[in-house]
Amino acid sequence: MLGFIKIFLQGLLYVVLLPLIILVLALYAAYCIIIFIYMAVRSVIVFFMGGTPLGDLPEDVEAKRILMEREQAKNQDPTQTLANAIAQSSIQIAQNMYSQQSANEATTAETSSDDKYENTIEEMDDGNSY
Amino acid sequence: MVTLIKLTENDKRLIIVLLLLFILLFVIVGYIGVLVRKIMKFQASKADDMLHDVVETGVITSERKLMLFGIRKNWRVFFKHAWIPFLIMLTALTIYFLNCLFTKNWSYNVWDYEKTGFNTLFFVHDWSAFYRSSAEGFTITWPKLVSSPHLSGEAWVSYIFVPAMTVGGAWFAFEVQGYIARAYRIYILSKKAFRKTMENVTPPSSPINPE
Repeated sequence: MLGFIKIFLQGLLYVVLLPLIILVLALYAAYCIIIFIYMAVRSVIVFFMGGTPLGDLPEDVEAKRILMEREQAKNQDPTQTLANAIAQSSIQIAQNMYSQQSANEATTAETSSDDKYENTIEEMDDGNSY
Repeated sequence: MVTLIKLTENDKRLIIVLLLLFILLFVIVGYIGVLVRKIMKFQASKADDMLHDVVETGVITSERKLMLFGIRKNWRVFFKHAWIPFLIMLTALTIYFLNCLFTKNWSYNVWDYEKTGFNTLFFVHDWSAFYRSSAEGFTITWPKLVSSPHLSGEAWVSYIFVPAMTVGGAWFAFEVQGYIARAYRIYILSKKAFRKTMENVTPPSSPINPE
Protein backbone atom coordinates (compact mmCIF):
# COMPACT_ATOMS: atom_id res chain seq x y z
CA MET A 1 0.00 0.00 0.00
CA LEU A 2 2.85 2.34 0.89
CA GLY A 3 4.51 1.60 -2.44
CA PHE A 4 1.25 2.29 -4.26
CA ILE A 5 0.87 5.65 -2.50
CA LYS A 6 4.49 6.49 -3.27
CA ILE A 7 3.99 5.72 -6.98
CA PHE A 8 0.73 7.71 -6.96
CA LEU A 9 2.44 10.74 -5.40
CA GLN A 10 5.33 10.44 -7.82
CA GLY A 11 2.81 10.37 -10.67
CA LEU A 12 1.15 13.48 -9.25
CA LEU A 13 4.55 15.19 -9.04
CA TYR A 14 5.42 14.25 -12.61
CA VAL A 15 2.06 15.57 -13.85
CA VAL A 16 2.63 18.86 -12.01
CA LEU A 17 6.20 19.14 -13.29
CA LEU A 18 5.35 17.95 -16.81
CA PRO A 19 5.39 21.45 -18.41
CA LEU A 20 8.82 22.08 -16.91
CA ILE A 21 10.11 18.67 -18.02
CA ILE A 22 8.82 19.27 -21.55
CA LEU A 23 10.40 22.73 -21.57
CA VAL A 24 13.79 21.34 -20.48
CA LEU A 25 13.54 18.55 -23.05
CA ALA A 26 12.62 21.04 -25.80
CA LEU A 27 15.53 23.33 -24.89
CA TYR A 28 17.94 20.41 -24.86
CA ALA A 29 16.48 19.16 -28.17
CA ALA A 30 17.19 22.56 -29.74
CA TYR A 31 20.71 22.53 -28.26
CA CYS A 32 21.24 18.97 -29.52
CA ILE A 33 20.12 19.93 -33.04
CA ILE A 34 22.74 22.70 -33.04
CA ILE A 35 25.37 20.23 -31.77
CA PHE A 36 24.30 17.73 -34.42
CA ILE A 37 24.66 20.26 -37.24
CA TYR A 38 28.04 21.41 -35.87
CA MET A 39 29.30 17.81 -35.60
CA ALA A 40 28.00 16.98 -39.09
CA VAL A 41 29.76 19.99 -40.67
CA ARG A 42 32.93 19.29 -38.68
CA SER A 43 32.90 15.59 -39.65
CA VAL A 44 32.53 16.45 -43.36
CA ILE A 45 35.43 18.94 -43.18
CA VAL A 46 37.63 16.46 -41.27
CA PHE A 47 36.73 13.68 -43.72
CA PHE A 48 37.68 15.76 -46.78
CA MET A 49 40.91 16.82 -45.10
CA GLY A 50 41.84 13.15 -44.88
CA GLY A 51 41.24 12.62 -41.16
CA THR A 52 38.98 10.26 -39.24
CA PRO A 53 35.81 12.25 -38.44
CA LEU A 54 34.81 10.46 -35.26
CA GLY A 55 38.15 9.01 -34.28
CA ASP A 56 39.60 8.98 -30.79
CA LEU A 57 40.39 12.21 -28.99
CA PRO A 58 44.08 12.89 -28.11
CA GLU A 59 43.35 12.02 -24.47
CA ASP A 60 41.90 8.67 -25.53
CA VAL A 61 44.95 7.91 -27.68
CA GLU A 62 47.27 8.74 -24.78
CA ALA A 63 45.23 6.59 -22.38
CA LYS A 64 45.24 3.70 -24.84
CA ARG A 65 49.01 4.00 -25.26
CA ILE A 66 49.55 3.91 -21.49
CA LEU A 67 47.24 0.94 -21.10
CA MET A 68 49.01 -0.90 -23.91
CA GLU A 69 52.39 -0.22 -22.30
CA ARG A 70 51.06 -1.52 -19.00
CA GLU A 71 49.73 -4.60 -20.69
CA GLN A 72 53.05 -5.22 -22.41
CA ALA A 73 54.93 -4.74 -19.14
CA LYS A 74 52.58 -7.16 -17.46
CA ASN A 75 53.11 -9.71 -20.23
CA GLN A 76 56.87 -9.19 -20.26
CA ASP A 77 57.41 -9.46 -16.51
CA PRO A 78 56.86 -13.21 -16.06
CA THR A 79 59.13 -14.06 -19.01
CA GLN A 80 61.86 -11.79 -17.76
CA THR A 81 61.62 -13.24 -14.27
CA LEU A 82 61.81 -16.74 -15.69
CA ALA A 83 64.78 -15.83 -17.91
CA ASN A 84 66.55 -14.24 -14.96
CA ALA A 85 65.88 -17.30 -12.81
CA ILE A 86 67.16 -19.60 -15.55
CA ALA A 87 70.27 -17.47 -16.06
CA GLN A 88 70.93 -17.34 -12.34
CA SER A 89 70.51 -21.08 -11.90
CA SER A 90 72.78 -21.79 -14.91
CA ILE A 91 75.43 -19.53 -13.38
CA GLN A 92 75.03 -21.37 -10.10
CA ILE A 93 75.29 -24.74 -11.81
CA ALA A 94 78.33 -23.59 -13.81
CA GLN A 95 79.97 -22.28 -10.65
CA ASN A 96 79.28 -25.53 -8.83
CA MET A 97 80.61 -27.53 -11.74
CA TYR A 98 83.71 -25.36 -11.93
CA SER A 99 84.42 -25.62 -8.22
CA GLN A 100 83.81 -29.38 -8.32
CA GLN A 101 86.04 -29.74 -11.36
CA SER A 102 88.84 -27.72 -9.78
CA ALA A 103 88.51 -29.76 -6.59
CA ASN A 104 88.75 -32.95 -8.63
CA GLU A 105 91.72 -31.62 -10.51
CA ALA A 106 93.42 -30.72 -7.27
CA THR A 107 92.80 -34.19 -5.89
CA THR A 108 94.10 -35.79 -9.08
CA ALA A 109 97.18 -33.60 -9.02
CA GLU A 110 97.79 -34.46 -5.41
CA THR A 111 97.39 -38.16 -6.11
CA SER A 112 99.75 -38.05 -9.08
CA SER A 113 102.43 -36.16 -7.07
CA ASP A 114 102.11 -38.77 -4.31
CA ASP A 115 102.53 -41.53 -6.88
CA LYS A 116 105.57 -39.80 -8.37
CA TYR A 117 107.05 -39.45 -4.89
CA GLU A 118 106.42 -43.09 -4.13
CA ASN A 119 107.98 -44.10 -7.47
CA THR A 120 111.04 -42.00 -6.77
CA ILE A 121 111.38 -43.57 -3.33
CA GLU A 122 111.00 -46.96 -4.89
CA GLU A 123 113.62 -46.09 -7.53
CA MET A 124 115.93 -44.78 -4.88
CA ASP A 125 115.37 -47.90 -2.85
CA ASP A 126 116.13 -49.91 -5.94
CA GLY A 127 119.34 -47.86 -6.43
CA ASN A 128 120.32 -48.41 -2.91
CA SER A 129 119.88 -52.05 -3.31
CA TYR A 130 122.36 -51.84 -6.10
CA MET B 1 -28.60 25.67 5.15
CA VAL B 2 -28.29 26.66 1.51
CA THR B 3 -27.49 23.88 -0.92
CA LEU B 4 -25.60 25.20 -3.94
CA ILE B 5 -25.21 21.95 -5.86
CA LYS B 6 -27.56 19.04 -5.74
CA LEU B 7 -25.94 15.82 -6.86
CA THR B 8 -28.03 12.93 -8.01
CA GLU B 9 -26.99 9.33 -7.43
CA ASN B 10 -25.78 9.11 -11.06
CA ASP B 11 -23.65 12.25 -10.65
CA LYS B 12 -22.03 10.78 -7.53
CA ARG B 13 -21.24 7.57 -9.39
CA LEU B 14 -19.79 9.55 -12.26
CA ILE B 15 -17.59 11.57 -9.89
CA ILE B 16 -16.33 8.37 -8.21
CA VAL B 17 -15.53 6.85 -11.60
CA LEU B 18 -13.69 10.02 -12.66
CA LEU B 19 -11.76 10.05 -9.37
CA LEU B 20 -10.71 6.42 -9.84
CA LEU B 21 -9.67 7.22 -13.39
CA PHE B 22 -7.54 10.12 -12.13
CA ILE B 23 -5.88 7.89 -9.52
CA LEU B 24 -5.20 5.28 -12.21
CA LEU B 25 -3.77 7.97 -14.47
CA PHE B 26 -1.38 9.24 -11.77
CA VAL B 27 -0.26 5.71 -10.94
CA ILE B 28 0.42 4.99 -14.63
CA VAL B 29 2.34 8.28 -14.92
CA GLY B 30 4.28 7.33 -11.78
CA TYR B 31 5.27 3.98 -13.27
CA ILE B 32 6.26 5.68 -16.55
CA GLY B 33 8.46 8.03 -14.50
CA VAL B 34 10.12 5.09 -12.74
CA LEU B 35 10.74 3.44 -16.13
CA VAL B 36 12.20 6.64 -17.60
CA ARG B 37 14.55 6.99 -14.61
CA LYS B 38 15.74 3.40 -15.04
CA ILE B 39 16.35 3.96 -18.76
CA MET B 40 18.24 7.19 -18.00
CA LYS B 41 20.44 5.36 -15.48
CA PHE B 42 21.25 2.79 -18.15
CA GLN B 43 22.01 5.52 -20.70
CA ALA B 44 24.20 7.35 -18.16
CA SER B 45 26.35 4.26 -17.58
CA LYS B 46 27.95 4.99 -20.97
CA ALA B 47 29.56 8.07 -19.39
CA ASP B 48 31.51 5.82 -16.99
CA ASP B 49 32.92 3.91 -19.97
CA MET B 50 33.90 7.17 -21.66
CA LEU B 51 35.76 8.62 -18.69
CA HIS B 52 37.24 5.55 -16.98
CA ASP B 53 40.48 5.09 -18.97
CA VAL B 54 41.59 8.72 -19.06
CA VAL B 55 41.17 9.08 -15.30
CA GLU B 56 42.63 5.69 -14.43
CA THR B 57 45.77 6.23 -16.54
CA GLY B 58 46.24 9.75 -15.18
CA VAL B 59 45.89 11.46 -18.58
CA ILE B 60 43.36 13.87 -17.08
CA THR B 61 44.17 15.21 -13.66
CA SER B 62 41.68 17.97 -12.97
CA GLU B 63 37.94 18.37 -12.56
CA ARG B 64 37.61 21.05 -15.25
CA LYS B 65 39.56 19.08 -17.87
CA LEU B 66 37.48 16.00 -17.17
CA MET B 67 34.28 18.01 -17.57
CA LEU B 68 35.41 19.45 -20.92
CA PHE B 69 36.61 16.07 -22.13
CA GLY B 70 33.28 14.53 -21.09
CA ILE B 71 31.31 17.18 -22.98
CA ARG B 72 33.33 16.60 -26.17
CA LYS B 73 32.90 12.82 -25.86
CA ASN B 74 29.19 13.25 -25.19
CA TRP B 75 28.78 15.29 -28.40
CA ARG B 76 30.45 12.51 -30.37
CA VAL B 77 28.35 9.77 -28.80
CA PHE B 78 25.18 11.80 -29.41
CA PHE B 79 26.12 12.36 -33.05
CA LYS B 80 26.84 8.66 -33.55
CA HIS B 81 23.49 7.69 -32.00
CA ALA B 82 21.29 10.41 -33.48
CA TRP B 83 22.23 10.46 -37.14
CA ILE B 84 19.72 7.74 -38.13
CA PRO B 85 16.62 9.44 -36.60
CA PHE B 86 17.88 12.78 -37.92
CA LEU B 87 18.17 11.31 -41.42
CA ILE B 88 14.66 9.79 -41.18
CA MET B 89 13.17 13.16 -40.21
CA LEU B 90 15.18 14.99 -42.85
CA THR B 91 13.98 12.58 -45.56
CA ALA B 92 10.36 13.00 -44.46
CA LEU B 93 10.66 16.79 -44.49
CA THR B 94 12.33 16.72 -47.90
CA ILE B 95 9.52 14.58 -49.35
CA TYR B 96 6.91 16.92 -47.84
CA PHE B 97 8.52 20.08 -49.21
CA LEU B 98 9.23 18.56 -52.63
CA ASN B 99 5.56 17.54 -52.86
CA CYS B 100 4.47 21.05 -51.90
CA LEU B 101 6.88 22.46 -54.47
CA PHE B 102 5.73 20.25 -57.35
CA THR B 103 1.97 20.48 -56.60
CA LYS B 104 2.32 24.19 -55.69
CA ASN B 105 0.04 23.50 -52.73
CA TRP B 106 1.64 25.00 -49.63
CA SER B 107 -1.44 24.38 -47.48
CA TYR B 108 -1.11 20.59 -47.61
CA ASN B 109 -2.61 19.31 -44.33
CA VAL B 110 -1.04 16.08 -43.08
CA TRP B 111 -3.77 15.62 -40.43
CA ASP B 112 -6.75 15.97 -42.75
CA TYR B 113 -9.30 13.12 -42.56
CA GLU B 114 -11.06 13.59 -45.90
CA LYS B 115 -8.43 13.59 -48.66
CA THR B 116 -4.82 14.45 -47.94
CA GLY B 117 -4.13 13.60 -44.32
CA PHE B 118 -3.01 10.66 -42.21
CA ASN B 119 -6.37 10.62 -40.40
CA THR B 120 -7.98 9.06 -43.49
CA LEU B 121 -6.72 5.77 -42.00
CA PHE B 122 -8.71 6.12 -38.77
CA PHE B 123 -12.22 6.44 -37.45
CA VAL B 124 -12.84 10.11 -36.78
CA HIS B 125 -15.56 11.23 -34.35
CA ASP B 126 -17.01 14.60 -33.60
CA TRP B 127 -16.29 15.11 -29.90
CA SER B 128 -17.73 18.63 -29.68
CA ALA B 129 -21.09 17.40 -28.38
CA PHE B 130 -19.74 14.64 -26.11
CA TYR B 131 -20.26 16.32 -22.74
CA ARG B 132 -22.87 18.83 -21.64
CA SER B 133 -23.65 20.22 -18.21
CA SER B 134 -26.87 21.91 -17.36
CA ALA B 135 -28.96 22.70 -14.29
CA GLU B 136 -30.35 19.17 -14.41
CA GLY B 137 -26.91 17.58 -14.34
CA PHE B 138 -24.35 16.08 -16.71
CA THR B 139 -25.25 14.59 -20.07
CA ILE B 140 -22.99 12.42 -22.12
CA THR B 141 -23.77 11.55 -25.72
CA TRP B 142 -21.73 9.19 -27.86
CA PRO B 143 -19.86 11.27 -30.51
CA LYS B 144 -21.01 11.16 -34.12
CA LEU B 145 -18.81 9.28 -36.63
CA VAL B 146 -17.37 11.74 -39.14
CA SER B 147 -15.03 9.56 -41.20
CA SER B 148 -14.29 5.85 -41.63
CA PRO B 149 -10.85 4.46 -42.56
CA HIS B 150 -10.10 4.65 -46.27
CA LEU B 151 -7.02 4.89 -48.51
CA SER B 152 -6.59 8.11 -50.40
CA GLY B 153 -4.15 8.53 -53.28
CA GLU B 154 -3.63 12.19 -52.50
CA ALA B 155 -2.53 11.35 -48.95
CA TRP B 156 0.58 9.30 -49.82
CA VAL B 157 2.87 12.06 -48.59
CA SER B 158 1.10 12.04 -45.23
CA TYR B 159 1.40 8.24 -45.04
CA ILE B 160 5.19 8.66 -45.30
CA PHE B 161 5.59 11.95 -43.46
CA VAL B 162 3.60 11.25 -40.27
CA PRO B 163 5.04 7.80 -39.38
CA ALA B 164 8.57 8.89 -40.34
CA MET B 165 8.36 12.06 -38.27
CA THR B 166 6.80 10.18 -35.35
CA VAL B 167 9.43 7.43 -35.32
CA GLY B 168 12.31 9.82 -36.03
CA GLY B 169 11.06 12.35 -33.48
CA ALA B 170 10.57 9.75 -30.74
CA TRP B 171 13.97 8.23 -31.47
CA PHE B 172 15.62 11.66 -31.48
CA ALA B 173 13.88 12.55 -28.19
CA PHE B 174 15.19 9.27 -26.73
CA GLU B 175 18.72 10.22 -27.78
CA VAL B 176 18.29 13.72 -26.33
CA GLN B 177 17.22 12.07 -23.07
CA GLY B 178 20.39 9.94 -23.27
CA TYR B 179 22.45 13.08 -23.85
CA ILE B 180 20.93 14.71 -20.75
CA ALA B 181 21.52 11.55 -18.66
CA ARG B 182 25.17 11.32 -19.74
CA ALA B 183 25.75 15.06 -19.24
CA TYR B 184 24.43 14.82 -15.68
CA ARG B 185 26.55 11.74 -14.97
CA ILE B 186 29.66 13.46 -16.38
CA TYR B 187 29.00 16.43 -14.09
CA ILE B 188 28.67 14.12 -11.05
CA LEU B 189 31.75 12.06 -11.97
CA SER B 190 33.92 15.11 -12.61
CA LYS B 191 32.98 16.41 -9.17
CA LYS B 192 33.61 13.07 -7.48
CA ALA B 193 36.72 11.80 -9.28
CA PHE B 194 39.25 14.27 -7.86
CA ARG B 195 37.60 15.00 -4.54
CA LYS B 196 39.53 14.05 -1.42
CA THR B 197 37.47 12.16 1.11
CA MET B 198 37.93 11.75 4.85
CA GLU B 199 35.77 8.63 4.98
CA ASN B 200 38.54 6.05 5.46
CA VAL B 201 41.25 8.28 6.90
CA THR B 202 42.56 7.53 10.41
CA PRO B 203 45.12 9.77 12.13
CA PRO B 204 48.56 8.21 12.76
CA SER B 205 49.05 6.54 16.16
CA SER B 206 52.23 8.52 16.86
CA PRO B 207 51.71 12.09 15.62
CA ILE B 208 54.72 14.07 14.41
CA ASN B 209 53.98 17.10 16.59
CA PRO B 210 52.20 15.86 19.74
CA GLU B 211 50.57 18.65 21.71
